[in-house]
Amino acid sequence: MSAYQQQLSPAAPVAESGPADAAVRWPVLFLLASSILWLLAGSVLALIAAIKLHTPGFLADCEFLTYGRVHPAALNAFAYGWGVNAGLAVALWLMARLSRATLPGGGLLIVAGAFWNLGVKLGVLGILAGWSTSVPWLEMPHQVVPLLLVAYALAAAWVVGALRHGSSPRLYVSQWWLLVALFSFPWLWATAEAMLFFGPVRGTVQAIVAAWFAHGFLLLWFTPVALAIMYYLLPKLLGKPIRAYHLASFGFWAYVACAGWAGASRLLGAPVPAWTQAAGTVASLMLLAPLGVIAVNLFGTLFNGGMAALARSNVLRFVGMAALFFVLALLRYAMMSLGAGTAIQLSWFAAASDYVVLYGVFSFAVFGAVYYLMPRLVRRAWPYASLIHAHFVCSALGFILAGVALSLGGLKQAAELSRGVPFAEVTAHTMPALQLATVGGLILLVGHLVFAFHFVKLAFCPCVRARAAAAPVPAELLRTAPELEAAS
Amino acid sequence: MSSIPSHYDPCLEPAAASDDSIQRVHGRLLSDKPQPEPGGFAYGPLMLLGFMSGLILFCCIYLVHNRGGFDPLVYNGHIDPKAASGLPVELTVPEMIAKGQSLYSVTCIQCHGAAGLGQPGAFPPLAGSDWVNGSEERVVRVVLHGLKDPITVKGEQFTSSNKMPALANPPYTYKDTQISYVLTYVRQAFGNTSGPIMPAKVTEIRAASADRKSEWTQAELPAN
Amino acid sequence: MNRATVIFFGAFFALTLSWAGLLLSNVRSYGVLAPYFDDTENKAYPSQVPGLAARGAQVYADLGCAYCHTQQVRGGEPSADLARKWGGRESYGRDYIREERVLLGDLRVGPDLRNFGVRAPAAAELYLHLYSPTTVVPGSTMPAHRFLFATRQIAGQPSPFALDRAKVAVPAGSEVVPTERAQVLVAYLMGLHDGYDYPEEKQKNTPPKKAGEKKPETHTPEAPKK
Repeated sequence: MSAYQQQLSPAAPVAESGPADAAVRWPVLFLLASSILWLLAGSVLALIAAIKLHTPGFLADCEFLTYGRVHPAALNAFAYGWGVNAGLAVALWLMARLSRATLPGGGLLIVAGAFWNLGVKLGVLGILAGWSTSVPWLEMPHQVVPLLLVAYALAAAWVVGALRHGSSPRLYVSQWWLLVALFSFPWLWATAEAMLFFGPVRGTVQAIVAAWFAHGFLLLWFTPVALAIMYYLLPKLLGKPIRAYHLASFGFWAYVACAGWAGASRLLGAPVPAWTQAAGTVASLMLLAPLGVIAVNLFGTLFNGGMAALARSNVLRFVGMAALFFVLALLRYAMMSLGAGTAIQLSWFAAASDYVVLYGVFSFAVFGAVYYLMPRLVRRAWPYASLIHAHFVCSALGFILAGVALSLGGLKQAAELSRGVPFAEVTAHTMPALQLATVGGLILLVGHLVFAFHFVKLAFCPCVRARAAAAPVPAELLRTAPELEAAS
Repeated sequence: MSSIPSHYDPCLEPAAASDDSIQRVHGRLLSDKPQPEPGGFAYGPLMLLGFMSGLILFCCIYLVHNRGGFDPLVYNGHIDPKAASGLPVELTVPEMIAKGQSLYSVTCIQCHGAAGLGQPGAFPPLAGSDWVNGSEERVVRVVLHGLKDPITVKGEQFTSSNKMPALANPPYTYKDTQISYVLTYVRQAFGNTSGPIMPAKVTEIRAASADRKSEWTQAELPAN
Repeated sequence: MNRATVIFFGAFFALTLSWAGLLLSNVRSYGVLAPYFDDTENKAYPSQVPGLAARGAQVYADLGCAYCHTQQVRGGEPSADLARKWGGRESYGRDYIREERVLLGDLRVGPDLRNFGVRAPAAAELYLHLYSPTTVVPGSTMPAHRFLFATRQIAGQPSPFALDRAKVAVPAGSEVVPTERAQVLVAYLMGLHDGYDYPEEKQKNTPPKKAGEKKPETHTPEAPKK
């Protein structure tokens, strides 16, 4: 930090948001570094699980790596390890920036992050060791959850504090979305844990609780963080205001109002009351209204800014993909919620829809944000433009390959399941999709390795640091950014 | 694109707008909404309104068709519970017989036997018995309130002190449905071929002989 | 009240509404379903889960069986569950009220297990299925659960549970026996059966008869007690 303080001498030009970035530098770096470790761990575990689906003999004699354990371990490493760590890191940075907050207490944030990571580690190891609850998205043994909630509350409280004590008088749309994400996740999680494990409700109400949580986690934590990033980075990189911004607040409120109910649509056809299923369908369909508004906001801005920008900016490409996947995800949920009676809810198509939110929307947006924020945090440029590009290609290619394979395979599986095709044939017909998904997972892992390598190189590699220390800070990082164009 | 420097460094991603101006300009956009040109329409909000109305209409129709009467026990939304609840709970005769069999094997089997043959001299047979296969009224009364020896079944005299117990009384306290099931079973089992006895019939007979306290005798129950 | 507070309370209100609407209302209305007492049979349904099976349910959860196997039979028109003989009727909420943890499952990689007890083979065959799935079902992608079995020297009498030597490779003088976890898991699987049709649910979930369809001879029992 001392080098940075030298640069802050009165004579040196001050980069915009320099003080805010500096205040969160170490917590954000810590959270991002741990999230990337989790990303790698999750990718490896997910790859093992994917291989097991078509080659069950692979590592079959390891009890702790049996599919029923390695799959939830991968999911939890991804959701709580990568997702929440990275989401908090980006939320921290974005909130500090947009609020111009230079709040002290970064050390506390690192402690909170450390406890969070300890909790997730215990949880994932617990799943592998056989303490899994088997409730999708809530597999971590419930004993670690109080620790995790306290750690999360510390971090989230800091972010909200940054908003309160920041000097910026205006609230931007990204901050709305961050607030919703930060608040909804603990609310959903604590309630679901309490209703499932600490004082379990009876019968299939448990399934409703689990569906409410799973959908809420996806639509009220992952998606809002991604939307906050998109709403910020598009004007930031394009220099154009959000298109039809006056509608953004309608989109926001309509989304928040419907998202909590949409979870019931996961239970279409399950033994839960018919009206509950219908409520889920209605909410999933009503989400199309905010979807339209948000899509006009995001794509209107993107097209307004010119497609030429997409060609040269990796960040915009990541963010554009995330916006595309956001539209796709909500359309898929709406479509599935109308498939009453078909087996689509029990097919790979449904699983792939969740992955679209988790990876396509959230991870793509976070990758974009990390590529933008890291040079500003460490005040060095990324070492290799080609690696950023390689990461984008791997992520896009791997995810689209796996996603398309699982979606088409899932549609076929659903059709055959409800047509009464003999089960062995259904299994055989799904194999190609699962094999392609493994190939996709492998490409994703390569992309994540590139990303991790590049991150370590930028943040921690001594030679890069030495070279950067010798050279002046890039002019771009010291430049005062221009004004946003006022006309839309 | 004037705001973006001509040299674009993809390793730095230059910002094209300052945070402060982003918030300032958008804050202004929020307060002054775009005004349509004089004589023109704002098509955006109009389309949004139309889309929303269509969506709400569709959702309402969907909810009405799939709500299942908001009944927590209806799992299939396509079934109108109003139409379904008008229907009685229907047991088919085979279902009645199945239930009757399980009742028989608990209560009746000790005396009348698994094959309905009874025990000569002690308990009368049910297979081929005119008591069982005869008048519905008579057999229901026997089961409701019991029967005292001496009686004659299939030409054999039973004069032991055994009594048929009243199943309507404790410790049996059979309900009308249970009597109906067990009799329907007995009238179809052991080679018997008589028709089922519906619970409504049992209810009717129970009401008619409500003041009966002791077992019937053969003399009180004529065969027709 | 500034905008951040509005957003905070707005989000709180929206979430609370969905919680009350979806969860609280269901907890109060059908989360309190009681077992149904059948007068005729003098038994309450669903039956109590035996202790061995309850421990098996824990093994089912810790091994994550529910990621590939659902436990919900679906009725309705395009569903083939009933035609597949996965159950005699669609599953009702009441079927699950005795279960400590309800694992409906959300993906059918393998067949539904809700009524597996009805079609379950003999225990010996089920052990073999767990030990080496492809021996029993060629082409199965179910993982082998060898870790639920122990290979040990035969001392004295061979175990009655030992796997068939003709079907699995066992070193001479040894036998493969299921561990206690395998035994409770098998007890759980063999007990999976929703055999009882609740009159009230049956009445409310049977579509009305089409006009002209001949009604079988039926009668109306007394209305089921709440």
